[in-house]
Amino acid sequence: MNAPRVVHAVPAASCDDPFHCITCSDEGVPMRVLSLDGDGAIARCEGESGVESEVLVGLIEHLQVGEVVVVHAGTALARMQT
Amino acid sequence: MKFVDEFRNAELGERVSAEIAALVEPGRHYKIMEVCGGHTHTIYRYGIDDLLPANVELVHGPGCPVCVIPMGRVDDGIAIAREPKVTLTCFGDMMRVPGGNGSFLDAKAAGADIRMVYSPLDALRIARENPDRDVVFFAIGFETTAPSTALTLMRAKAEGVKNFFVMCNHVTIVPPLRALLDSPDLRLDGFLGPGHVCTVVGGRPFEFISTEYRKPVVISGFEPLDMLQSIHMVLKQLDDGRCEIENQYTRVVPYDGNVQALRILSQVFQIRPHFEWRGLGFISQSALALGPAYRAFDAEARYAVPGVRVADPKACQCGEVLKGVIKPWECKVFGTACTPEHPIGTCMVSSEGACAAYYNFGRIARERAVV
Amino acid sequence: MTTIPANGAFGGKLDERERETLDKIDLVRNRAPKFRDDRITMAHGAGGKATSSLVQGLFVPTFASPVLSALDDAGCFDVDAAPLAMTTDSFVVTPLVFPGGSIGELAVNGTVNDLAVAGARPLAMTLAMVLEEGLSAEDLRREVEAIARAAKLAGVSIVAGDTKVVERGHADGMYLCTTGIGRRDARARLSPSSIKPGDRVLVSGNVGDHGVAIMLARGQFELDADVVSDTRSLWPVVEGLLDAAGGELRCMRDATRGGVASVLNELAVASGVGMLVNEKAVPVAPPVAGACELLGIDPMYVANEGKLVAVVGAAGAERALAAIRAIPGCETAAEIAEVCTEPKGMVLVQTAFGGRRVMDLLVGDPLPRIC
Repeated sequence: MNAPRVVHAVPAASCDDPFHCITCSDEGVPMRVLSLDGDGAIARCEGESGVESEVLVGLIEHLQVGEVVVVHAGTALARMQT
Repeated sequence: MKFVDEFRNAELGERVSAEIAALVEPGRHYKIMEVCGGHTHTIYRYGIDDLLPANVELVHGPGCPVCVIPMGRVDDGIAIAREPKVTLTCFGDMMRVPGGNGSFLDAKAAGADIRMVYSPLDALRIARENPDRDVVFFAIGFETTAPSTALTLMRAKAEGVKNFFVMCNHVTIVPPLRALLDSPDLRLDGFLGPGHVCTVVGGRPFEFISTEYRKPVVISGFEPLDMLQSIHMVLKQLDDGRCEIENQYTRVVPYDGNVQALRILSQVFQIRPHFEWRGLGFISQSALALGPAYRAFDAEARYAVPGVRVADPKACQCGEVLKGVIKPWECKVFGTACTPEHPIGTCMVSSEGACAAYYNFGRIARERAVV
Repeated sequence: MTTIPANGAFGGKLDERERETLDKIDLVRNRAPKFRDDRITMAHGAGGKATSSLVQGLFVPTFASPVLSALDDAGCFDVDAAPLAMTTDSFVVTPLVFPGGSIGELAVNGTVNDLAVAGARPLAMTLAMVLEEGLSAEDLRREVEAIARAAKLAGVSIVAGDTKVVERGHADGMYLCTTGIGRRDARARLSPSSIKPGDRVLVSGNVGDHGVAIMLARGQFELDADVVSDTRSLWPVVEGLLDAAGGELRCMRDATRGGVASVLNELAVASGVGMLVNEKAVPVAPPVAGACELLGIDPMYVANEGKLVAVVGAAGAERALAAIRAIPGCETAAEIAEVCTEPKGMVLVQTAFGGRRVMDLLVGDPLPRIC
């Protein structure tokens, strides 16, 4: 199975279905940082099962590749200790 | 790479479930409230009730930012969408929230340009790609989502985007909690704290619950094992006679919150003097508006909105459900006149609303042990 | 045989009221759906509750055809003792081409599969094309060739056709409409009414591939992962099942829009039984599971275009599963649910964590224009 690639920022949940809305569910998805852009504002991250997306990481100080962050609405809010 | 598997482990779940049953005082009834749609979702999605003795009752509080949007604000959003050249964008659950004259989905079917997006960045991209349209983002969510809106506004400002606006309906978690605790209707024994709101605000804002109201609070993660552990921690506090703020979600939540996020929130937003919460009435200092530095992006400054207060339908008991006073199935119209396909109130519209969650997932007659 | 135990003993009065409310709701749900909406919305095309209300509330009563009222995937009737089945389908998928296939292949396989799951060998089909002005000859040629290839593979001939062209801005490139005709196999004695408690439910492979492939092809969801549509003819799978399971085969369904979950709900309601799904047993490819988790959609609701659900008597289940797995591409076929007496007309899921939840029909559409 190839590592999936991403085009743009993380999509939040599809709320048209009766299961999930990211704001209402206060969702945070754990994702591992694969790479950081030049000014540390955006990172390529990989979620479970290998799906990748771009995430705004400006709220996490000194983020390193390989760390895991919790992502909500396309934004990383905190580190996850693993 | 499995971050969450251990927190969904059935064996560990069984073990904690047994520990809870052992901890519970025979004959005593416990009411623990969670104030987060994500927790409501986990409870129903994993059937957590099947793993608790009947003595432990989980109560759903006002944890769903869609559920508390009053009908009048939906009407205001539709009014903006009907302005010439406006594209209104919002998260999916907002599409079906009933206003005084129909939902965003109804307005869209009647011709308004209303589009579902997955993050505020999507809305900003639509603005960049459609310079001839005015793109308005209908922002909702607690303190977890507000930073995302704030970062997007900061980008829009830095990039000089002139056709992007935000209609801000961000709300804050602490004021309604205080309103609940002050309410005579309710007798709660403890709280599960909203794990991801706390990544932003930390644990300190909740300390008043233990110091002033003498109730235990455990900040909880969202996986089923997190919740069982947190419930156990609340019960242990009650058993020990303690009332403290504890953090079960230490792998993610720093007690001080995210200082950078709090800083940008204060740069971009200001606190409204008061805001109407559906079912709860007007609550002071409970919501955010765009601050003076971002006035140029404020949809409410650009467009005149009706701002009419629309009363809930008489049959609707969302307020009582949101306060945890009644269970979803105790509402007189639950499941008959009010269903997910024809919702009367917001608790049925939002997928994490207590009524929708119970209707869609929880409608099982369960056999539960009594301790 | 699994029965769901009734409510337990704590707080006697409250539990009785919950049970009463649930019973009342069941009564309301079991009433024939009425079509009450003012306008058609995207929800009506989703294959869930809104579609049901349209089909059962408007079309079926108005057309008053006994064959149609059976609401099977294909209409079955005899002509001079020849056992025939006919079906019709339309294809409005966007984009026209996606990983693993295109609209042309869907058109053939979708039609063939409706016949196949009715136990009918597909023989012939018609094809009506509605083309958008400006469609390139290259795109058209590509689809026509794809249709020819898929028809050859499926063993059907295209016996009649029609072509229309509409102005630029309509038909999104092309819409395809088909009618298929087949001959019912003598071994097939299929009917939802023959489903009994104790029967097993099989699925012919990984679920959710097609829907996720479409989402990825749309780019607007801004993900990119290695998932392809599962579009294929199911007739070889059906032949294998008819051979192996014989009289133990109760019923089959093509799990397209609305996914496996919708099929299970339809069958539970049609046969008045309950179903208990074993969440751990449902086969899902890891990238599909990941994409669905990120987007907050349950793979059980995601469209497939080459998967069938078969209900088989317990005695024949092992043989039937082996027969399906022997077909190339169906190696991950699995037994995913058991038929129960209670709760009638409902589908429950035994979650991997241990608790249970309800799996209801959707109201609206997580993924519009999927096929």
